[in-house]
Amino acid sequence: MTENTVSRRGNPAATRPAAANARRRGRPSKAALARLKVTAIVVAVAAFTGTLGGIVALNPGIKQTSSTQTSSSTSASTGGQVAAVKIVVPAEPAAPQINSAPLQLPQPSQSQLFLPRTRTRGS
Amino acid sequence: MLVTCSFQCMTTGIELFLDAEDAGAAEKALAEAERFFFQVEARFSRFRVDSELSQLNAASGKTSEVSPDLAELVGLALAAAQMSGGIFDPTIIDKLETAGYDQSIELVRARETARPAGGAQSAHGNAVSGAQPISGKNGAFGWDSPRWAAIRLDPQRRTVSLPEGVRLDLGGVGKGWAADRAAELLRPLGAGLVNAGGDLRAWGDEPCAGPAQGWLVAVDDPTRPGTDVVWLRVQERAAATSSVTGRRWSGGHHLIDPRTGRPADTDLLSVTALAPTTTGAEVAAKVALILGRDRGLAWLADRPGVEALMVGADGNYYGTRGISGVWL
Repeated sequence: MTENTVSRRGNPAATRPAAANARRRGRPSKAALARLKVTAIVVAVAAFTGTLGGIVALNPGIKQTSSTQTSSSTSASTGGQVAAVKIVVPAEPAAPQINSAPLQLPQPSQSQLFLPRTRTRGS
Repeated sequence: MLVTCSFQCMTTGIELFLDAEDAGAAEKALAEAERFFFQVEARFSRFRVDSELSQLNAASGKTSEVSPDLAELVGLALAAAQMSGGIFDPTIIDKLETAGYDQSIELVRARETARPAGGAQSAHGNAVSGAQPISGKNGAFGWDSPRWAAIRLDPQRRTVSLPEGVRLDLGGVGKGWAADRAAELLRPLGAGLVNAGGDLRAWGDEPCAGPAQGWLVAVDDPTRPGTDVVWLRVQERAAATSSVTGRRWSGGHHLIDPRTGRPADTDLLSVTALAPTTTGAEVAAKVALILGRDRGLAWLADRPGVEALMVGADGNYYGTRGISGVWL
């Protein structure tokens, strides 16, 4: 028991998490690779549904450089396997500034309630 | 003196207001405007088999010579379709009929309360119970193709060519156009307002409006008809409201989304638009309502001179940036 403890102290790598060991060796850990995979899948789904395009169009901080389409790619090495995702962002015209916040409408005063008026309504 | 006139026409209530010095002349002009509305209904209703529009529709696949008024209406409908990217589509009669709007709205509602009605005749000659609406996919044009884009209008020769199987519904611009034309008739006599079932055109100042200029117009609450949402000051322009709660029956409502071919699934209950003309306001309100809040506001933001107030299905009100300058 004591020897085992000493042995671990003598070999610090045995007590480090696998991720730390992997970083020391200059390779991504299994957990990091898994996170990369998840990220790549999320980005691919976002691109597929057009969500990313919508975000780019709505965020004035992101500029689209092409009038037709913008593309980028990301890849993750998975120990021999390469997961490459090409993101194609559909071109959308820049969204105009709109105010979609709810409005507070004024209430007619009592004196105005008796004014003759006509109505507009859906018909 | 303010002279008023109200009557039922185009399956809705029409109100005419004219503030003229000569009351006799005003009454005569209002009577002429009233006749005009009935003429418009007789000539351009899709529910009348003998209307000029029904005759044009019956001649689809051919080139027809039409009256100057019908040529103008067709031109307006096609311009509205183009301006809205096809969201306003005057060729979706078959979808309206499939949704159940195959007769005037009174008859549709009467049929619902007295089923089975059995074989009422619609304008295009099909018995309602056995109607075989033209499917875009079976016709020369797929539903995905904008059928309105294939309509040919020659304004010089006043001819219209409808592709085989395509029929026009001018209900989306007809009332507004009639209100604009009636306003032209009445304008020389004094300030006035023409209200065609909520699609209205105002000019001059209302005599009872006090220091306020223009005409006071209440926006109806789509959830509580007869209750005011807000008052607008309409001055030298037009207003129109489109709602999913108005012409409604068990199958849905009359605003078809051409992207789905079904009654629009929108997050809005109504849109009131203000524009230089009633036709423009009518089209803007319909398009914004079908597009929904965010896309509708974005579309409206690109239309100078157009303001809008939206009543959301979430109970909130939304609008264009300039709408607060119009309400009272």
